[in-house]
Amino acid sequence: MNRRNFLITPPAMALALGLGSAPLQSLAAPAILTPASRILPREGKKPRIVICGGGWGGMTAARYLRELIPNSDVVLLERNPTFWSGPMSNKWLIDIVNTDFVNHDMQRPANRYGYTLLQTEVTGFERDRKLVRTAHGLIEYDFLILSGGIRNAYEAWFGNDQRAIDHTRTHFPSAYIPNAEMFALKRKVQAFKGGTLVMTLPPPPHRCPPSPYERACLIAWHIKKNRIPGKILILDPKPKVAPIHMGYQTAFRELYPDIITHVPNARVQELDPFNKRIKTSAGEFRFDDAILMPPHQAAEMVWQADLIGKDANGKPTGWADMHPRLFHAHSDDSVYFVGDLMGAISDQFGHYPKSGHVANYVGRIVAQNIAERVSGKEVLARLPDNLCYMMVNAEPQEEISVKFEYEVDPASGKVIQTQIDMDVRTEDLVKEDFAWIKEKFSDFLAI
Amino acid sequence: MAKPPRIWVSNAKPARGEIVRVRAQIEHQMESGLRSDEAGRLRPRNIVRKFEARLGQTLLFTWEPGISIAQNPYIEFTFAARDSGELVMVWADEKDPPLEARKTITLS
Amino acid sequence: MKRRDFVTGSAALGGALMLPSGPARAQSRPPPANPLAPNPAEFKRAMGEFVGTARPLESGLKMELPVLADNPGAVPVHVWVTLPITESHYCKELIVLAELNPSPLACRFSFSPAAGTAEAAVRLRLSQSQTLHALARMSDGKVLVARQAITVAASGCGM
Repeated sequence: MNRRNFLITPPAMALALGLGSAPLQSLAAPAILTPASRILPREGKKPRIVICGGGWGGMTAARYLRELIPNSDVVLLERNPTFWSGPMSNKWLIDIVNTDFVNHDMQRPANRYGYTLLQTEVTGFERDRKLVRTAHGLIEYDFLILSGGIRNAYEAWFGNDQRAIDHTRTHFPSAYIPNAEMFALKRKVQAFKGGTLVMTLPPPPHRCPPSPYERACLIAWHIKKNRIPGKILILDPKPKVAPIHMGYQTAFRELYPDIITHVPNARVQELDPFNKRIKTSAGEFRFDDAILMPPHQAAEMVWQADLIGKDANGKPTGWADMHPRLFHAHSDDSVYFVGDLMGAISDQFGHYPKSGHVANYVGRIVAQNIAERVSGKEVLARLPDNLCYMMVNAEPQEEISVKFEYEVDPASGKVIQTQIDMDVRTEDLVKEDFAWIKEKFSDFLAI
Repeated sequence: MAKPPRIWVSNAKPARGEIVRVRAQIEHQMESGLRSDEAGRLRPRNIVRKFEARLGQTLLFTWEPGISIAQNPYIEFTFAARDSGELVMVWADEKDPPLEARKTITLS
Repeated sequence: MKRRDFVTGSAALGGALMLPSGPARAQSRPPPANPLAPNPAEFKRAMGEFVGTARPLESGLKMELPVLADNPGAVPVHVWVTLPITESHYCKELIVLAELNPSPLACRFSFSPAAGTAEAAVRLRLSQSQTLHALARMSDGKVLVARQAITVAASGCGM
């Protein structure tokens, strides 16, 4: 494999593995991989699991697959050079934690747990041939895990008006997909001089349901602390603040009464990002600045794999079409889903909360299920739980929390959710929050 | 009753006579005795039957919830700060040992 | 509240919680078919027991709750006595009644004069749309009352 030394472009170096059979004369010219190249050739008969998306869920699955299937060949594909945690990133916006707290090296866990990390863009699938298409070439799999999170469905607002989409994305970023937009949002907050800051919330289901309100509280705290003559207008498509309705309502009322206004039932009808005007089902508003969160959908990869669910009318649900207890595609049991792109679980509550905690939990469950299949054991249906902490006050630091527990209703066989809102904001929940993130990071980041 | 009670006080260093507001919440199923289990039998009732708040040795008030009180019972109350002392809150249900929480109140 | 001690395991239907004490009575009555059915007799009894011969005054006690309960499993109810509270004139006892709940007596507060206030907020689960009643007994024997109707949006209260 010395020939890799001759490769010129740095990204290709990591991919030289795939050139095992390249003829020697290619040494004369740089061996540029094309999307049609076969990369990462199989070693013997090791079961190959390819994970698309290295977030909370994908990295957790990678670790546990390596532990539970010792001879497995696990490949993690991630488009970003480093890991950026969604959880805790609202705190990063106002410098409660620094960049190193949310941003981490991914090669370390890959080396520690023994999986192959490849920075590339997934561009499609050939499921009949069990191949993933990437920007760097084709990769074979036995099992495929899709854990690419969400996409912003701007077309729900703008149709195919690409100019409006680009203007919105670049001027009023949603900052729900790591990580460039996170920096843009932080700059926006720091540069905010006053006026009306509008936040549109996505309709449910969306990534991290309670976090937009946390974001509003922490930006409001920044406005209050720096005596900025600004207001935050939360345009919420839901009839009320949820989850943790009362905890947030109390925080809005007591901590930020002159800053935060929550407008319920405000579904976006027309949005003019150039003239900063928005029309909703709760009225029309002008804004000086905005964080415009469009509806969320499963990441592009689920659409590319043609595994998006369909509703009763045959319309796409926007989320993965999957077995609610075993997490694999209904139509293809070699494809698993982990994290925010997962489809509905139960008609009682819809989706599992699209949270880092659930992604981490399901990442582990899916690793267990694949391990059971590889070893010919019975596949057990397991249930996750969920836990979210939200900071509502930064001085003193106070948080609220919400917990979700799941059980199977013996009569219907359906998954039932119990939600526990902790509405009393306290400082001890901040300590629990940091203990929680430490435990989670150590579970998949090897720190 | 695994998690500790969550307590918020409006001001732990109040002036004498100041009205202090307290919010307290615990995780508790408040099993009403009306729900059935998997075999169709009623799950035995287990609710918080008594909550007590004292400032030092002085009882402020008691609260006796019935089965109509929501799960994860929330109680908000006020008292006039007449002395410094430990604000002690105790929850007693029908099964487990009582749960206790304390906050020091110091007159400023 | 001693009577709840008489409610034993098998008779622990929540509706039986507030029935008059006495094992004989509890056993002679078959359990209600719908455990969430209202118990008007018990509502009347609890109300009557608290009020006694007093004539409730419709001022001096405030109750705040939403007009529409979108989450019937946790309906916020805030009650407080607006009369001045002193060592010699204070609220001894305050109850909240949910008229059409299977167990109407939602909760009871007993205040000591040391509290210096008579105020509390709790959350109720409501089985259906109904009227909530708050009753306070002052140290001078006066009984104060406040009422408000509430519409429960969804069915099922998580009881």
